[in-house]
Amino acid sequence: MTPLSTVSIAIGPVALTFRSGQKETLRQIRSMYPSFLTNKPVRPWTVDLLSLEKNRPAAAPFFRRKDNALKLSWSRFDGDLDLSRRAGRLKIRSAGVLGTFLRVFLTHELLELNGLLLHAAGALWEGKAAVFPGRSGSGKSTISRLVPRASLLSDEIILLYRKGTRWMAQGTPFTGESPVHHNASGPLGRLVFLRKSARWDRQDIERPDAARRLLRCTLFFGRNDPDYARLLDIVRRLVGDVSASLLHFRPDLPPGRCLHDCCPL
Amino acid sequence: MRTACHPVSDRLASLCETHLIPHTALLELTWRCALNCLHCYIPAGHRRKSLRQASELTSAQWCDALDQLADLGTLYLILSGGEIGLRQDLTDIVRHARERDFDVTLYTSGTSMDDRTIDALGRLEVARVEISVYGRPKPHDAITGNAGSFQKSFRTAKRFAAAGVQVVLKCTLMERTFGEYPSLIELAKEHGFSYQLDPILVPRDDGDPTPLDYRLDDDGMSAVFKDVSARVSTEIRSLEELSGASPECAAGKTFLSIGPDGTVYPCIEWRTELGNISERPLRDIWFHSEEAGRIHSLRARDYVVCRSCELLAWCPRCTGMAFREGDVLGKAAESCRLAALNRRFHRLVTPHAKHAVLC
Amino acid sequence: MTAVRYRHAGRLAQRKIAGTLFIVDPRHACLHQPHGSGETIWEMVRSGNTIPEMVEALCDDYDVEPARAEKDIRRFLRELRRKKLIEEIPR
Repeated sequence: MTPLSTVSIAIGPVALTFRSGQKETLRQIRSMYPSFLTNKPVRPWTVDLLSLEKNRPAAAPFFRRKDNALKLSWSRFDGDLDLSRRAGRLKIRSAGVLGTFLRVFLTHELLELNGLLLHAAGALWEGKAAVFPGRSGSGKSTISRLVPRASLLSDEIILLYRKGTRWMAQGTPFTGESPVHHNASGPLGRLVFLRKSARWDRQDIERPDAARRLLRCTLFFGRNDPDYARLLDIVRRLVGDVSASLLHFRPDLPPGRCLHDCCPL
Repeated sequence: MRTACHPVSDRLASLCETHLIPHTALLELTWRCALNCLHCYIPAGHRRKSLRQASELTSAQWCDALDQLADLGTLYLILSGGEIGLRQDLTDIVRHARERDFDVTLYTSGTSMDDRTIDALGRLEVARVEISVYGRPKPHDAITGNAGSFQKSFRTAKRFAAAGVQVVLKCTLMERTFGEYPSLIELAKEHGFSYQLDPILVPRDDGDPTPLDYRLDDDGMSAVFKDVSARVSTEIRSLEELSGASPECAAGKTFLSIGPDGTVYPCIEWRTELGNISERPLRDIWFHSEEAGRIHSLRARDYVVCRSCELLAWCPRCTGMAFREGDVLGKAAESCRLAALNRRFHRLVTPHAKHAVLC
Repeated sequence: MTAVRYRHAGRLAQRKIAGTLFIVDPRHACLHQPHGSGETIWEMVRSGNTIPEMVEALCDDYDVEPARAEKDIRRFLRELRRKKLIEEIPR
């Protein structure tokens, strides 16, 4: 029997230890997530990596729970995890599909941690995070290019979760056009939704509007109604606890101090 | 919305050149082939099934390669061989390519595909298929070394056309096909196919120069180039491209190829190994391997002989041919010959035409 | 009344390259590059969104009034149909 080697990663409060007899696969994981490797994972999920040989029908990725069994599925991976043991097996074609697996898995695990994954850019400002939710083409990359690289949490996907009485914003390894090569997080100060305009301006928005915009940008792959209800509850709490703004911005005009002034934390 | 009617527009080309994104990838799914074409660049030993099949990438590995190419930014995909019809998983690979939004072109002899496969590929909305046809049935079969191959190829062409796929008949201009090209053009026009006449022959991958014996001589090539009704693959469409002539090559910068065993090359003729995708992620190979880095840094100034050649604007310079003649940065004798003919008969050329799709 | 939905035409290819979306139409050997809101509308066609949903999304992402957004969306969809890049989904 081939001895198993391991590699552990942690993205905010979620840790996984991958085990495999294929050293090359683990080497690729290390090179894909260098800033998220950890030697001391806290309460990790243990996932044994196996080979997915057969083609699966094309379908959108999803997770589904039944009792203690968690199924995560996509055309390029097939996972079965035991919720009580926090362990299971994942069949993959190559390490390249782990990005999608992690996004699917995180949206499940974050339900237990009062958290969610957002299509968003995020940056640290004077010790607090401003998060800019938005879909493709909304201006996340534009905003990301305007902030100092060292303060950028991510230009593509941000993890939000509740820690005690505070909300935290965590950068993720899932990047867009401006790859971030560090692992950073901070207390969430403000949600700033983006709107392309002829001018730079900011206005506060009401909770229902914030919730509606937030849901548009939330990643979620669950198939059970209770899980979706749980997600809605998390969104409700988030917009109740955190201020939200609408930032009008003009992509071709430098903001000057506008960006900082428009996002007082 | 901006629209351009050339397959690779200025903006796409410029973005890809700036960011070193391979917008086109040619995948050699196999080197196996049932034919025995006189001029084939694949050595006979590579074409035999028992020797090569075990080392080919699996279906899952090719699909993973496609994912990596899509993540790199590749848009145009060419599936070639050997003979791709011999891959039992061809439709699976094409299905995955279409799911990942690639523009898919198939290169095939058309002799190893059954109707079920052709119809399935049609439903998968393959963009075009380029089928090698060398003339009328008898001369064609003499070149492929396979009696009845013309009928199979032509039948495949018609079936693809019926399935809604654009069909291009491809003919390598050789001394044995010289008399055949007018009938090929007629055949194409009669059935609504496009056609492509390719004047370039190269030695086999193992260095065997036998294919060069079949090169069309100057008189024959002159006759073809003089015939304005014959469109040769190395033409360009506008005079503006003349002024931007450069000896630089897209291979290894905005074009790459992957062999059946996963080896990455700048192109199928330039067989410098950049790495192997079964051992290393493609992004890693493309941006961090030593060989790829060397190629990415090449500029016009490095082609010391060609950069100041008076025939540069007329030259179908192929770095792969120069590589096979021993000096990647030097001249290729065949390119020089064709350049002189092009100038003589006013056949303008672009280095990129070889990878462009003809209307 | 069921709202009109569109889908991308067959045989197209597309890729976002260095932040720019390119659409290949091999039937006409043409390459298209939608800009700004055009890209959003193109993506929403793919997702099967209706025109009212597109209006809502554009008003979220752009400083524009709903009536103007709807006018621009319809004009863009007409252009996409004219170029045979989208087709109406039969109801």
